[in-house]
Amino acid sequence: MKSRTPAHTDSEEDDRYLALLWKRGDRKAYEALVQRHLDGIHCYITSRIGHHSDVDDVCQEVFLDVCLKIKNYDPAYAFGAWLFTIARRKVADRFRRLKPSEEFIPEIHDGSVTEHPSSTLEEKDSASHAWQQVFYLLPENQATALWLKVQGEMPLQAIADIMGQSLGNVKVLLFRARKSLAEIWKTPTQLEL
Amino acid sequence: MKCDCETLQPALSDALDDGNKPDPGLIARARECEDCTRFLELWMHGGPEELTAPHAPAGIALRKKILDLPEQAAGKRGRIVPFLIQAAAVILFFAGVVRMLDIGPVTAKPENSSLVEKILRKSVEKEIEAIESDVDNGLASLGSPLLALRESFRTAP
Repeated sequence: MKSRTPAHTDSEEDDRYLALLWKRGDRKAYEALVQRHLDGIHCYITSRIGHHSDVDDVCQEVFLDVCLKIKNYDPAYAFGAWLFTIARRKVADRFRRLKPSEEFIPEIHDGSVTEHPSSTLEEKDSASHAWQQVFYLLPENQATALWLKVQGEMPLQAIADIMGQSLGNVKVLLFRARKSLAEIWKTPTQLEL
Repeated sequence: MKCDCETLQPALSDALDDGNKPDPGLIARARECEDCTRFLELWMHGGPEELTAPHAPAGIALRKKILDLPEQAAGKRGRIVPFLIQAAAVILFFAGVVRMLDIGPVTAKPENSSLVEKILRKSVEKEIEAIESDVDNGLASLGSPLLALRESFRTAP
């Protein structure tokens, strides 16, 4: 995921170019954009809702929305920021639809950390569970800013674009998220909610 | 000495935002305070291990579905356009029907309105006549008791 987010200006420029080609109907450009961004979007959605059967559905909703709206894409905006904005909205829609049944239950969502090299899947699960805890513990905008920085490895400007915030506000959101987690963070197995 | 965490931690956070290692002086100051040390240790290397661990990539089946989405999107757009044409045709059809039937607010024509007025006037006149005769009859029936009363007043001492 980490190399597939729009972390650099060159990458953003490539995205813009590909998006414009796709806008003109170039199917190969669409495939290249999917190749560059699907894992990042999938990772974000998994961090928000866990390894749930809905992850694939939400992913498809995001890319379908992008397909339907590509004619309106304005290259003045970074494609990655546009894509993550849609993903963020789709996840929020999904939580709104399922709110009553989506209470956080520590027994179910508690991650298990293992250092054993053979347990790759468990390690991956622990990452998504750890992020679910972050999204549970922090306000959504702080957790999203932190996710984009830590998992997405995005520069502040890209985070500001995605979140529709100024650079200064993004710095404040990141500081508050770090401060809150420094006060309460323990490994997922130790975390008591 | 009391640590100024409110100044020190934002400074550490700023340095981490820019991808720089915080200034050694800042780190040394942070090490003197328990809260700032915890802050520094948690974020100095990008964050807790659990949060920086890689996630599972998207599956092949999902990738394939997403690559097929432009066709679905075209299908959706293709369904929307005929629907709009059909809706427009239905609206035009009903507009034509309304125009042909000349359906509109009911307005009385002048001849009809004078006829209605005549009928109304006649019935009102009849009503007034009936009220007048009722009053006359009533007065007539009161006539004899009134005379008797007047007579009693005249003969009274």
